[in-house]
Amino acid sequence: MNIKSCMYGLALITILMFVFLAGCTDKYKPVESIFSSIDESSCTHCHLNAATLEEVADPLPPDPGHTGEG
Amino acid sequence: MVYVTKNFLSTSHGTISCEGCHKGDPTAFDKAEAHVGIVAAPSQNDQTYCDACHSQIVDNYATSLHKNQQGYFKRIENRLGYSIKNDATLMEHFNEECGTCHATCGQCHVSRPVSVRGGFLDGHNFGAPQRDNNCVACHGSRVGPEYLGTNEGFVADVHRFKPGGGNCSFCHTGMEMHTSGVEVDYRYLSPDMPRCEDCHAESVDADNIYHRFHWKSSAVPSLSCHVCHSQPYKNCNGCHTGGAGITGSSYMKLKIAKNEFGLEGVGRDYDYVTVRHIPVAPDTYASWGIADLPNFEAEPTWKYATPHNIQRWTAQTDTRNTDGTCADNCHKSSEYYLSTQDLLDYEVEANKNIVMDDKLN
Repeated sequence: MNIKSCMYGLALITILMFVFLAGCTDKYKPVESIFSSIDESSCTHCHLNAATLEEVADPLPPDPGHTGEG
Repeated sequence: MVYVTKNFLSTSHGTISCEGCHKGDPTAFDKAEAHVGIVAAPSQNDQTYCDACHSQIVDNYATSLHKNQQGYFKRIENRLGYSIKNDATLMEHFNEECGTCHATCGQCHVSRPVSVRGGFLDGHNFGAPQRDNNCVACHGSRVGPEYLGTNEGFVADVHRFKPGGGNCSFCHTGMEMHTSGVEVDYRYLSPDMPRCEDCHAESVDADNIYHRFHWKSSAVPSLSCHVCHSQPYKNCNGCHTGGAGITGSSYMKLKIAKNEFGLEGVGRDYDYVTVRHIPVAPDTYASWGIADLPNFEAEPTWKYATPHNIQRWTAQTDTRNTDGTCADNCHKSSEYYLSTQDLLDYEVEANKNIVMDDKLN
């Protein structure tokens, strides 16, 4: 086996390992926003705007009247 | 209302798209449409939403009693005789009542706990838990008032005014909250719990006769630090799920009992410890369809306690009106000893191993 074959083999193993590892992860990876401006997303359009939120917000649920266990 | 401050967008979490964690439709400008499929609290499912970046913490936190509430389950199981986890009806009741104390990542790091109606801590910015908005929001009946000194007639825990002592994390670190991954079903069994000796072991005055006798000596019974250094603390009666068995008000009392709580080997093998009354009666779960807990006596109704109101000088350690020893305060007084006289009829059997009747004069 010459050096060239060894190099090709090494490169192939590296690529296969990368594909294997990348393909094996099932962890959820949230992505960056697709919007270029915060106003383009309705989320930020509303939730960064206190006045808008005050207009549309639901009232708070009733106070449970207790402060917890311990 | 869910108001996000603009500076959140420049934080590491703020670079993630809103819909990446919360779903919904970011292209819809009608409130109802935008919120279809919304995930209000993603960290309810931390294995999905938090794990990619915080995998070690998420893995360990699965064993936290704050998350899995295994302490609650185990106590109910012991008294009931079987686990409620496979009983859909009982689990529904558990989730409605006990389950509200379950803490997600977000309820410590982003918002106030849901059980106290939530609300962002700082405009959706993530950060360390805040004492009053997070810790005391849940632990506001006993631990919070003790530590802060808001129980009438009693003063704050001395540690509150030490540098850093204003925050619960002074003793209760993130490591403890997230856990080291060891599963336990009783909080005092956790290897991550802080102990007084973590700080005070080396600094104790070797000439302190009280410490030599009741802390370091193997010749006489040992006492937990709280036996001498706690002020009276809140004992509970009628604040849990229901039933007619316990209906009284809470009361301030310091009680000492035998340490028969299975804590050998975790550094809490004192002979005598402070105990706190817990609000449970045979019919506590009557509203769940359990009229009478069949194994009620399997657990004491006075439990090992570590009150958060430490002082050097307490009624127990103040010897000014004695012959110079604390014997008059403790050995000649039955006030502090938990005895059968302190118990209701149905509690006697449950506490028979911890009461100090044999020590009373």
